Amino acid sequence: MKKLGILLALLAGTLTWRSSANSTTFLNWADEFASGQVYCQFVSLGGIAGNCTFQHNWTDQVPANTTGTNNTWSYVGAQGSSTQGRANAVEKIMFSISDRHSKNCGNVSVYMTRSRTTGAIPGEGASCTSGSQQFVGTAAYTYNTCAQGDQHFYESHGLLPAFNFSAEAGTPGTIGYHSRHMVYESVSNIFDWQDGCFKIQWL
Amino acid sequence: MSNNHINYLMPVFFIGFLGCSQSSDDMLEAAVNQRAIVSASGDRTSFVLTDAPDTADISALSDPSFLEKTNFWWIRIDMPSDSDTLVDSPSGFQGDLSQNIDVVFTHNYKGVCDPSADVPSICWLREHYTAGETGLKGVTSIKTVNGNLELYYSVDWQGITDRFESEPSWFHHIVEGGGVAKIEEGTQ
Repeated sequence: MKKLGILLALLAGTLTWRSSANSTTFLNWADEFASGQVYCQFVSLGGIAGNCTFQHNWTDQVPANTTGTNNTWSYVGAQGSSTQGRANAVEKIMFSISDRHSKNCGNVSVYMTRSRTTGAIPGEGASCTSGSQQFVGTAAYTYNTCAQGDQHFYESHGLLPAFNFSAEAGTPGTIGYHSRHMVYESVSNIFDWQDGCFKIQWL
Repeated sequence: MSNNHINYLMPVFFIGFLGCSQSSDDMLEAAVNQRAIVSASGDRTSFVLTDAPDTADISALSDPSFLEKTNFWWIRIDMPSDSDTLVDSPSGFQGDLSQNIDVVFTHNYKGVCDPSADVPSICWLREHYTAGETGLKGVTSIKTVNGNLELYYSVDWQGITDRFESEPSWFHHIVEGGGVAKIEEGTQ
């Protein structure tokens, strides 16, 4: 009788897992799922205004990739909640800095931040809303173009420090995240940011 | 928690300098908006690279307490004076910031005040890193050539910080750059 009880309990657990909201959707691994791009151009010789543009793409999203500021909640994949799994889930941003100013040089700082939801996880397709969040951390890169002296038409291409989940507790279950990409460019005094949201199923 | 940084600042580290020691023949032309100040106090020497306006005189730019209140970009490297001979040598001084080499890197820059804020804003920030501290790695290169200061830095710090208004959070910051500027008269 005792064995039968254990068997039923195991079966119930299996059925519960299989009946989860994600069971009908195959999730890829959430490896390097965010590939943002930031392009900044200092005020140029021809009087063209400096600018910084964004594009962040969420790869492997289910049901579809989205781009821009009006992302909706969707899975970017599944990942083990172990130490190894958390290190494998990585957000990253490529950036490009173009210094075409005739004389001045300056700084460009690119940031990537993440917060995790602390309340109910929004459903698939719901709009990104602020909700209740806990700030997790920041990856940032600050580059000074003066290292290139008075050379014009200099471009730098780099990668923001990979921002994985190693510093966060590994807890099985779905967790929602808000991600913010920010850039500040000192020569043209440009500051802009872009938000997105995504979910990971931690196994 | 981060606790070895001054004010609201956090440690940063120099990471690989960007390229290099150059001979005087192929030395980069200095950017016009940079100034270089070298000053000695006791057994320490400081190298400052800044875009400070002309109205800021040398004595002020040599004073750390003055620099800490400024609203212009600067980097300051403080090191033992007995390393000066390396700075003046053809290869210059190159320091590995992951090691306890008694070098301090400080920079003042404009950036996001608090990345955890719901509505972020920009303000002047100062970060202070001491070679050998936990989470710090990178390289700095300092050389004087024909009266010019050539200074490059690549600083990389990561760890938990309490500098923001949120709960202690993870922070990883890479800071790279440098420049070439004529050392202003009256400094040494």
